Amino acid sequence: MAKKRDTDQKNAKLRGEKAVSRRDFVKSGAAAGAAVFSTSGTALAQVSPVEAIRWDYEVDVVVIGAGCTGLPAAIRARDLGASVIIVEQNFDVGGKMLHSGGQISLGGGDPLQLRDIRGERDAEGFVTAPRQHTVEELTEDTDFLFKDHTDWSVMDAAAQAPYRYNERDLHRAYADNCYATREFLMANYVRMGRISGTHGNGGMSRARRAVTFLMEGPATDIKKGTVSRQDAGIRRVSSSHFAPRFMEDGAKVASPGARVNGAALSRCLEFSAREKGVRFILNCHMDEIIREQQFSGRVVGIRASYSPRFHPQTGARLESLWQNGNIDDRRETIYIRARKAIVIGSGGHANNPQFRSMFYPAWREPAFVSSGWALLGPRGQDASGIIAGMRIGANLAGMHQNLSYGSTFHFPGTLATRDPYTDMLPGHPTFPFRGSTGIVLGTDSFQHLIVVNQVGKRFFNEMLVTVREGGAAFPAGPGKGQPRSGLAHVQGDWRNASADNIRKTYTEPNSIHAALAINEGSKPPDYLSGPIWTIFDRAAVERDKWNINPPFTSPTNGFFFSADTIEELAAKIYKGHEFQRVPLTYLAETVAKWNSYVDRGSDPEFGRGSDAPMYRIEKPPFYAATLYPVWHDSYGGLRINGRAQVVDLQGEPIPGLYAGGEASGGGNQHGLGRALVHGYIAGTNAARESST
Amino acid sequence: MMLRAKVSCLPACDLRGHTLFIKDHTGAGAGSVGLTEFDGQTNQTSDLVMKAPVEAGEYTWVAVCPAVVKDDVSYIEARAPISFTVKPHTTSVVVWDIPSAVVVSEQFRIKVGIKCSSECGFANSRFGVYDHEGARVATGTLPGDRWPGTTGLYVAEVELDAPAGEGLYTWSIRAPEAGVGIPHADGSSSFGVRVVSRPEHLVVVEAIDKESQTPLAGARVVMHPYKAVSDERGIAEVRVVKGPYKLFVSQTRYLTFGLPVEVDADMRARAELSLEPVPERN
Repeated sequence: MAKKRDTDQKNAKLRGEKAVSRRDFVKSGAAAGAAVFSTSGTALAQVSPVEAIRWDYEVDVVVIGAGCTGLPAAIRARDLGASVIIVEQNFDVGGKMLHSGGQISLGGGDPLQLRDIRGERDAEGFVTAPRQHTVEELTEDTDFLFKDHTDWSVMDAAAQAPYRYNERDLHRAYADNCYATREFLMANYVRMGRISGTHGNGGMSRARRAVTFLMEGPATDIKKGTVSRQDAGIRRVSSSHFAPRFMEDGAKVASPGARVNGAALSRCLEFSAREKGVRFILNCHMDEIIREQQFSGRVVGIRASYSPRFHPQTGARLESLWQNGNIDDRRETIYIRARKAIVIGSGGHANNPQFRSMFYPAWREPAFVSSGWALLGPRGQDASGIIAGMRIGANLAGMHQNLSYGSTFHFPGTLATRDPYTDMLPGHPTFPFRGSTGIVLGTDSFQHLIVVNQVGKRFFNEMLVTVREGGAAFPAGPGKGQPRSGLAHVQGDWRNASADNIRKTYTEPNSIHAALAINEGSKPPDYLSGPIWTIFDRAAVERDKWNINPPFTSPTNGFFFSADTIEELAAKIYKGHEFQRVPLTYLAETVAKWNSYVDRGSDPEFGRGSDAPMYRIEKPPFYAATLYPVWHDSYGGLRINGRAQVVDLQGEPIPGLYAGGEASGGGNQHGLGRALVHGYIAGTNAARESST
Repeated sequence: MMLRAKVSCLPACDLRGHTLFIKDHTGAGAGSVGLTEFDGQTNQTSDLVMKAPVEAGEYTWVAVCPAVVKDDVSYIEARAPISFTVKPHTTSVVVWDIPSAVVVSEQFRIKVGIKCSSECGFANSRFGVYDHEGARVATGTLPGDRWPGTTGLYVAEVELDAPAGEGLYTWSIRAPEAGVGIPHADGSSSFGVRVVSRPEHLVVVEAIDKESQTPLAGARVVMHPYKAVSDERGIAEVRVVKGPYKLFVSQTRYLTFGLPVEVDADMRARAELSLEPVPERN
């Protein structure tokens, strides 16, 4: 029987090891051999661990995290003459950016908006697709963008107010730096297609999004802007180390032969960073940010520990795609001094159940992970950057904004995998952690199954389980919770937020909340909801043509089961799934009841039958596949100001400490744009700090 | 069932190599097992796998540690009861390929699968089909072999006569006595039989891809309880009785088409289906 887990023990242990107390820090400082301290708890204020630390490395700027904030910050700081080391907990560079869609919403009259307005192509001549929007839909300035991002009146289709709580100073700086950030990206090998719409919560009034691409070619060559077919991936067959997710066709927004997604952004920035002399210490988890005094003075460096990942079958250490610029340091603990500044780009808190449940206790369920869990590993998105900042006095901002975006947590609709957001295929080194790609179903395919909780009871209309609304964004309209679409949207109009408009546009299905609810298998003190299962039969597989063979499912990872009878299926789930803590007592009864509803043609419990046909679950073998929700983005984190400086509880910047992206809060904007601009600003200001 | 025993002595002694005997509820010897481990205080046996009694019920067996002399110390015989409950095997019944609508008094066929939780052989066993009033209306015989691809499911097809009146009836299948000398709990499964009058009207449904305006073959057409599948021309024919229906047409990767219809004559319907949007991921 699979070992049952009430907590994500492995992760908890890792976090426990890393969340070292000040007292532990003093001890480890002593162990480093530099000095002897009193380790009395009362003596903390009297000792000066900073002076005792033997620094293993010393650079101008230390960047924590090689993702969407860290990479641009490092490159920018390097461009301005600073020496830079990036420490990254994972074995490779890119973070969540690497498996993103590569969609970047900026705006305010950025270079791509202007390029499209003028009807121009890119300098290399790759972009042949026609302009997607009118001149009016692309025309704006930074003041207009700022107003859009702080428009109090915007209510989305779930009656949330995503822009209302955005930090003003942060978004003023954002608007003022979008132009420079877009230029910066283009100067660092990043190719982007035509502007097309806007990302969720990227503003309601203008089109601002462009997708990164590389052209399919005989070989991957970042300077030439090409990616080989093998590196770009083969649909439904393979990913690659270069691109963990299959790179989609970009003909519509760039040109025939273009392949788009976050690999075209991440790998290009990584290539540029390595070329410019940024150094990387991979497999290195930041454990503590060291300040002169715990709550005063400058930040002076970090303590980090060795965090390798090993292939689950071969035991070999996972290695990065590219090696140049890497420092292969395998010591258990290292100290890195930052002469000028530290930039926290460590990502969010989506993979830390204790942290993410701060505003929603149901999310303490450890079974559910962040998007990209397999890629990022157990320490990815673990809130470590935020926690390290808090330990030296940093304030938080916007934690409640986690509740203001439909994709923050949702059901992606991919069955039979713990990591349902990522459609990674075999070919990437971390695929074995997933074990299966998952069975990817559209919303309508849910007519062929039922969804049950950990005791085997249905809890919602299956046709609505995966339905979600995108964020409030251009071109707006009722589908985004707004009375008017496109250019007709009026900033700050009270009617946008009127009760009448909310009544007309509210479409939140609430299925995720039903899924996370307390049920008969929930036990105190955490009342964990447990796993969610889809139940279907052979007839469903044949009817809707699902491929349930490996790699879409795995016979061994505990996320997919088959059996000749429902009773046997329930027993297999209980025995074989690590988070199934109680028997599915009601499963057979639920299936029998469902079949009686099908015979009747209506579902008195959850209203099925009026929205789609119903089918009996009757033909063996019977199947169970997980339907896991995912926590995708993190909104809320360290409070930063317009200079990307981390701000303390008195509203003062912590000298030398910067942050951005998902490690920061106060900006409810989905996608890469927010983190890239933060990284650009942080890198600029970090490099301009005085050396200490 | 698996047993493991521990033996401790006063004063502590190493009894490794000594044998324990298991006596069943009749006092007959049921097995023996040696003590193989000693941790300084307690001796322990290895695992002993034994066969449970064939009758369900409560049982008490006894583990006997015979008297022994060790290092000039005599130890008297010790006994410990072993109490347990024997439960019957569970039998599961599955029923499928039930027509969604059967015309009154006509014959129809269903498939029946029966399986023991311990995968007992049900070859050639007979099972009964019972109607909504509990009367046995048919019997079936399971085949000699397990259904291919399963680990113990026996499958048979049964022909049945529909009731003479319209309605939704709940019938059931009851599993056979296994006849293999091992107790099995009663297994049964109920299923619905929708009986309708003879259809009066023909509904011809044309399933079309909305964007390309090309026919959709294999589209599923449902007018509960009637079902059909479209041919290469995108045409499905459904024969129904007069009345109101919700016409559904669905196809893999397409959004389901739904249309309320009132049928009081032969009719045609055109269902234009749109591809399901691909969710944005970033």
